[in-house]
Amino acid sequence: MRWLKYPWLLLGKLVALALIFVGGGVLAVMVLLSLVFMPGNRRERTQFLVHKSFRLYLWALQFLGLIRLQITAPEKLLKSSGKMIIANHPSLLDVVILMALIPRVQCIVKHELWRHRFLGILMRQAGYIRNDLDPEELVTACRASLDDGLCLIIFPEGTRTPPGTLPHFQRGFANIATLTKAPIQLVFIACTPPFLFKGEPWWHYPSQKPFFQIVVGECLDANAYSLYDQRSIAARKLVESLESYYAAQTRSNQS
Amino acid sequence: MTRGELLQKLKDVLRELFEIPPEKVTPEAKLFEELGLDSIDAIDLVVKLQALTKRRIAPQDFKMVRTVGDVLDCVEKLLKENEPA
Repeated sequence: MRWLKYPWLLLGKLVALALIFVGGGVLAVMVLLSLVFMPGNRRERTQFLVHKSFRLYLWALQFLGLIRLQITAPEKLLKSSGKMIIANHPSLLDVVILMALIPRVQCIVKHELWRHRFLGILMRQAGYIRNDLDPEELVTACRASLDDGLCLIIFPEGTRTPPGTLPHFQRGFANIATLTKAPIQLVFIACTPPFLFKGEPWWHYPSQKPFFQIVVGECLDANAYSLYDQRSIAARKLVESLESYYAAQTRSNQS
Repeated sequence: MTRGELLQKLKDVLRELFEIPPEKVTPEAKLFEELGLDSIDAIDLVVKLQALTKRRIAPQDFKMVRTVGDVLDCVEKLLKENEPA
């Protein structure tokens, strides 16, 4: 029966992907309309709309039978404020899921998206942080958002995890943490079989329905990762310890 | 201070700040690619060098720094040109 189902699933995937980009346009229009009709400041409104649209989008993906989603302890994220949210990055949907789960977020986005026709409007209106800022400005922008009670989502790998490999973290997130002293909420994301991974061909659809598991783990207080005299050493140790934490999570998920 | 003494001092600093083994610190070693520094580390390093030399380092002077040798050049120039602040 698989050959019967495949065209339907693939069509679903393509529609869903198109929705992200065209939907970006729809969202942009809604954002502009909301300028007129909704109270509050521009960034808050835009982020609220993104949060709600992503919830709807995830609901639709599940309703259409394209994915299955299980979240452990979502209330921890729902109540989060002023934290860094750190996660591994197996799939294109990770950021959608996290933004659907957390009402007020900030993220660092690659600067190319500011040039995108629809998404560019969204980036500016939502006030996301560009990844090509000068390092000190970037940290300042992160600190301002955290102080404002936003949750800062960072995928420390800087790109999606290739399937079957262990996460390799860059140090940027640890620099931001050691400089801002923000608490770090750990989130582990598993997707079996791999779906929307890095380098996936557009026509690929896994033989089983992709199952996303979101495990909201412990929250590290700044005291837990500031045990060293030198900030630079603390950042290195933080990278090492979280890399081994995510490696252990990945291994136990695979076995 | 001779260049050799400066290099020794820099080895101490790099070990203290970044746990870089002194034997890897040669004048040719590239700070970012080989010694694993990042842009925030570079700021920490500048702050430390300023404290040690008691002189201000202009950001544009340090922007061009790529290797350990470049750091030594930068510090030598500072010590020669500027009076203590």
